[in-house]
Amino acid sequence: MAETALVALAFASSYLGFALIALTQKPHHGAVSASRSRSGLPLGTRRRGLAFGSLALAGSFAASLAAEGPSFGTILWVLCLGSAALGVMFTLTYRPHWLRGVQRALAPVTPA
Amino acid sequence: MSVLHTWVGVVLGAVLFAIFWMGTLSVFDREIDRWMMPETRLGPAPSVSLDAAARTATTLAAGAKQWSITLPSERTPTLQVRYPGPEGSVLRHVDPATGVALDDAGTLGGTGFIFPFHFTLHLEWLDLGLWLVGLCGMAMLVLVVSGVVIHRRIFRDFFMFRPDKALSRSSLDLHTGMGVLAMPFHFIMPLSGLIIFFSLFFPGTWHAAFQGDRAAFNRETFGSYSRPRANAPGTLGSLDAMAAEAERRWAGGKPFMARVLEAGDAASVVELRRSYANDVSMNRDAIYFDAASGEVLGRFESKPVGAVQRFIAGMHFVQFDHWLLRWLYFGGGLAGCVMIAAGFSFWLESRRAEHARRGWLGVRVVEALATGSVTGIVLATLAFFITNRALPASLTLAGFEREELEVLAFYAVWLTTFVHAAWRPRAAWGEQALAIAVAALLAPAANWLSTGDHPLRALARGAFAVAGMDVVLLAGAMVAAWAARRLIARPHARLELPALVAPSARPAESEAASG
Repeated sequence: MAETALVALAFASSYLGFALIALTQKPHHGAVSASRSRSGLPLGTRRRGLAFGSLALAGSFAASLAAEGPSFGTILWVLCLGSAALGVMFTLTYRPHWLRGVQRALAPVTPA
Repeated sequence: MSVLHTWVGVVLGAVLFAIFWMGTLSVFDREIDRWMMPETRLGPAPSVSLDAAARTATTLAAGAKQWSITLPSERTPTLQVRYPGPEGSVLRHVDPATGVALDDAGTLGGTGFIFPFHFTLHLEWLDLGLWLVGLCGMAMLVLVVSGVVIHRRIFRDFFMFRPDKALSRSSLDLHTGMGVLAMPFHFIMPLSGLIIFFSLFFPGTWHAAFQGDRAAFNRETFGSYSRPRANAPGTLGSLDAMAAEAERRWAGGKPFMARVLEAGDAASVVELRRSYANDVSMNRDAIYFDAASGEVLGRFESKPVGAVQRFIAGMHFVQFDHWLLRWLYFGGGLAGCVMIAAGFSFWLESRRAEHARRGWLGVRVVEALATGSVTGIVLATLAFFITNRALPASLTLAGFEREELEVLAFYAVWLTTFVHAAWRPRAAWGEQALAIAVAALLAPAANWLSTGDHPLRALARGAFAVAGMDVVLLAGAMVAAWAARRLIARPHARLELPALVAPSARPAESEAASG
């Protein structure tokens, strides 16, 4: 049970990590917020996105290792990263608004 | 680098797709076996006594110089007995509950056709297939590296997929998306594949280390024990007692296979191999016993370099019991298939107009090749499955047994898809996708009619392999139907170029068909 929860955490964490990283990129940021705004992202927000995103990916590695041990855990993490990244890619294409919550968490102030 | 990536991709893409496709299916080769061999759809295996299994094996393999028994496992619920027959190795499945040998399944199945196709392409002459697959493995590494180098906006387009843009653009997005995001998988798979066959592809390594002494190399790397025959009759002691001794020496590791060498001779040897169901690494740990007394004669464990090779091989073979990883490997393989297909699509769409204008054959030839190797091999595989479930196992037609008829159906359909693709360029994609949708519906239907196992019944009685295969086929049918609808509804008027239907293009068409 704890193992299943850790594996789920590994997947959720890599998905979140890639979502955060994707949202530091202008086209994806724009698609998610559905705003016409052409202004770039503030540097602070971008840095924060990359930092938290990388942290989430690292957290996913830790969860994989904790769930499956070093050999299975590493393989699981690598495959988990790939599937999460593809998941984010398809979310951004077909359901970008799903990531609005992630975006809001990332933004320092509510946009006007 | 761009030229390199393009040429290697176009020239070897067709073979690469075949390797990826068959490799993807091989992840579930034993589940395919259960589906194609209804006799072996047994419930979870009871714990089997090796001595009881040995009694069955000695009856089946009476007179054979050696035989082996592989114990039932989660994925293969039968006891498998192997022994050399007059026409090569014989494999018999035995019901572990009764000890009765099951009827010959009359099929090569997933482990006998699909899995070897993955690394030999069934081209056995001069090991041509193996070498071709080796070349493709090397090429795949070149493609991954050159692909990264020529990808100008690898970070900016990391998550970019724009299906509503022009086909050339969306194909490229899909190609790079699948390629970049699943890159570790696409790199590790060919690399580990090459490492599995290191002694064939890189013979210099062991030649140098063992001064060309193949026997010494085999002994040191793979472990083997032999002693001369006594040419006097001998007995076989208790295998269960030997297994208990092996478990003690392996600190709890269990044997999965027992092999009896020089069976019936006074110098007969029993080899027990250690299970790797719970490890990534496919260990070669073995203990050798004197068959009569059960005295330990020798023990093998891989040396450090060998152990690394076994880990890498295990990572490629996925022989461990881990369903989540098994599905992720399957997904990774499918991502590779999509990557190759999208790569072809990009190549074709970005050159179609120019080639048509200049009267070049390139697009016509590559398109026929790509269609046949992408949708064609999928259709051929489905024909293989349907033939298995539509014909009775004992059927012989025109001198061919069913086992051969299945393979024949595979190649006949595959060849036809190439001819069809050459005859109907462009339209063939959609038409073959439609045929895939129909065939992927027919296969579970044929399974239902021939065995009574529809997915729900299979699920209810715990035949997960059968239910899983049916569900994947049905899901595949849906994807294929969706793709067919999109491909057939594609606005041809906008994309079809006048030069293709103009009289000047006629010779090109016939040449493409013959090529």
